[in-house]
Amino acid sequence: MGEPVEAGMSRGVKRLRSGLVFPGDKLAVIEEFLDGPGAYQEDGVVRSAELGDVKFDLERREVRVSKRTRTPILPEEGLEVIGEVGSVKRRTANVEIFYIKGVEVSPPFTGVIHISSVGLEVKNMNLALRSGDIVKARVINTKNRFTQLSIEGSRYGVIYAFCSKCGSLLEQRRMRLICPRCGRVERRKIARTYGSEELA
Amino acid sequence: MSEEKWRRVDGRAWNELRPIKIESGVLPNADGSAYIEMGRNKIIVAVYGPREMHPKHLAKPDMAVLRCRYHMSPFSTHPRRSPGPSRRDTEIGMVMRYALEPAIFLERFPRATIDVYAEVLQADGGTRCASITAAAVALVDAGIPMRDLVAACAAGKIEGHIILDLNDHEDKYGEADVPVAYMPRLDRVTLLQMDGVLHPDELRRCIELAIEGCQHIYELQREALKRKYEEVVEEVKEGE
Amino acid sequence: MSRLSIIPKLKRRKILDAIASGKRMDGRGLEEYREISVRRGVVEKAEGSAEARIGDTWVVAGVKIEIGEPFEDTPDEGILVCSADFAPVASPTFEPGPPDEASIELARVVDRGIRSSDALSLKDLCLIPGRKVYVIYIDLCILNHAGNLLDAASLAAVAALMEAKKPIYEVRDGEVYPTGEVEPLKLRRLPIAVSMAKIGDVIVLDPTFDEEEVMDTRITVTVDEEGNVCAVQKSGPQGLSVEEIWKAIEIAVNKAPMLREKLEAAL
Repeated sequence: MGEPVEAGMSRGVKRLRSGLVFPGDKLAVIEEFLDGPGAYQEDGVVRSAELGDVKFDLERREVRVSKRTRTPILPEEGLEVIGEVGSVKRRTANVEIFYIKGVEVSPPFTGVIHISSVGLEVKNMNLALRSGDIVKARVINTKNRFTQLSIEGSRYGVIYAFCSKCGSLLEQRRMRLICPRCGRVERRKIARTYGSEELA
Repeated sequence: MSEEKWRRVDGRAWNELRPIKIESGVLPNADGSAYIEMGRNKIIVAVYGPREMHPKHLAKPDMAVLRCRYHMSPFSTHPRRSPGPSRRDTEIGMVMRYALEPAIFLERFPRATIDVYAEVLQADGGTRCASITAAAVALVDAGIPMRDLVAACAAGKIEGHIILDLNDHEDKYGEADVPVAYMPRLDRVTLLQMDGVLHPDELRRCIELAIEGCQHIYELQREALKRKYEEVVEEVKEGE
Repeated sequence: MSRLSIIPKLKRRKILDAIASGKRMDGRGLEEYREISVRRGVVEKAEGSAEARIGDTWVVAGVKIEIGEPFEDTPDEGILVCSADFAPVASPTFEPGPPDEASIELARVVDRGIRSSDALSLKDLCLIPGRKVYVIYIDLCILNHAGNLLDAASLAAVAALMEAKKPIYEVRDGEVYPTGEVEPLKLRRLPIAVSMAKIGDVIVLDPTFDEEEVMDTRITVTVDEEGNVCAVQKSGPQGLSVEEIWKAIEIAVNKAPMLREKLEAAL
């Protein structure tokens, strides 16, 4: 199936097969190349798992397929997400994630923030987050039953919060949040983009 | 009458497929989609996902769950059918799932669901196979990693003749109908049903004939995807 | 302010900012439709069928004609049944299940436009008074929801009726027998639904999905070829002033001929 190796491509990445490959297309046998991202191996044959462009890495002896289709959007480790805080318990808060990398997902994915990933010394989650807040967070683990999120660091935390008495959007004054309607002062772990994050 | 001279009700030869048209990426809202015309069958398939499973207790911790819903529009048949789901719709949704599941890397998306919705706008025999064929294209269009495509078509028997790709009339008045779905690169059958009476040798010939049909349909699936994706500018990322 | 409303509120602010600059998010003027296309005869097995697209919104309508018993209070009239299915193919938010409020409203508003404009003479659809009449089913299948389903559904339904053919029956000894012949359903009017959304204090024509999500209310005005109004539906939580209603009617009467042209030109 392979075509002659093209000369002159940099850093050892060469294409043996040009054009599109489809899921299931045979790319190599395992004695020649290992299955890299976008490829898989079955019964000693390396095949494409994607519709995309194939690349043979001669240094790593690996074949990869970079997809031309969209990439499914899921909460993956390291990604930035935005969501709404659901129920808040003493040590954990649930988050309904509705933006992943700035793309809206429907229905939302469920994530959890543990008190150890807040980045603040608080005894109760309620002092950092409240139900209804909109938070910007980072995915730190997807191996468990729920996607684990962190709001450590100034980039992450609450970006919109509401008065727990009257429901108005809270305004930031230095490190505090103040209700413009009833004057109530509240505490949150806020992100540095509080009140200004573009969502729509 | 010899096999060469004998002609079917719509004029086809015994081993001839109906005209097939496949288009990928027809629904702007869906994550992946495809439209298929197979003879007079007209079916639209949407794929949504992988996305969060609701209700959550149906999620599997180690893999995605594939859900397939097959639905016929009230105007797709004569006479009109009631818009609610029938037992037949439910069974076809299930066999679609079994036909497609082996091709999908479900283990890459633990806890998620992949929803496949087939909406039959016009039915003329062989809708389950056409739905599976379109669904495989829609799944690739959704960017879901796959082991292979899945192509499907039926073979059967009418008036003693083994035939490929039964239309509604042949399905109703024939002696047997054998829908087959097939992964062409991996050479594996993922759907096999039979309805009617056949000698085991005839059943074997039907399966072999259906697989030949699937191989032809597979080429059309590739062409449909190619039409959409060959224009996509390749982003060459060299090295790591 | 409800806590859950921040996202729509931010969206709304963006949409209002765009409107204030005279252009909508997609670059349209306030009283401008997206691109409209109507195609007839998409489902040969139906007695009539059509698809209508407005921008990315896509609706297929199929007409099926059967024989049934008339309603007791209208023994000499045929029956018109209009239903809509928000198929889950059409939106990530649609789920399989029985028709909800929105799909029932859609079908009823489309039905009302056809019924009150007298587009179909139900009296002509009677075979044996009190016993056998034609039943005309219009089924609407939503394939992609990108806002303003109602105008698209209404266009598709009327286009499907325009090309629908009913089987001719012979009445003998109090029974009906199919003759194998067909004849067109005579459509006397082409009712056109025109929908607008009120967002803030502006009225925008042909709202998108996002605009519908943040609108205060929607008004649909269905107009016949003489410029008479044959159905109105105000749908949404906020109120309209009489001036706004008048403006909506004026817009509908002005825009309907353009949509009717699309219907008549449809192949």
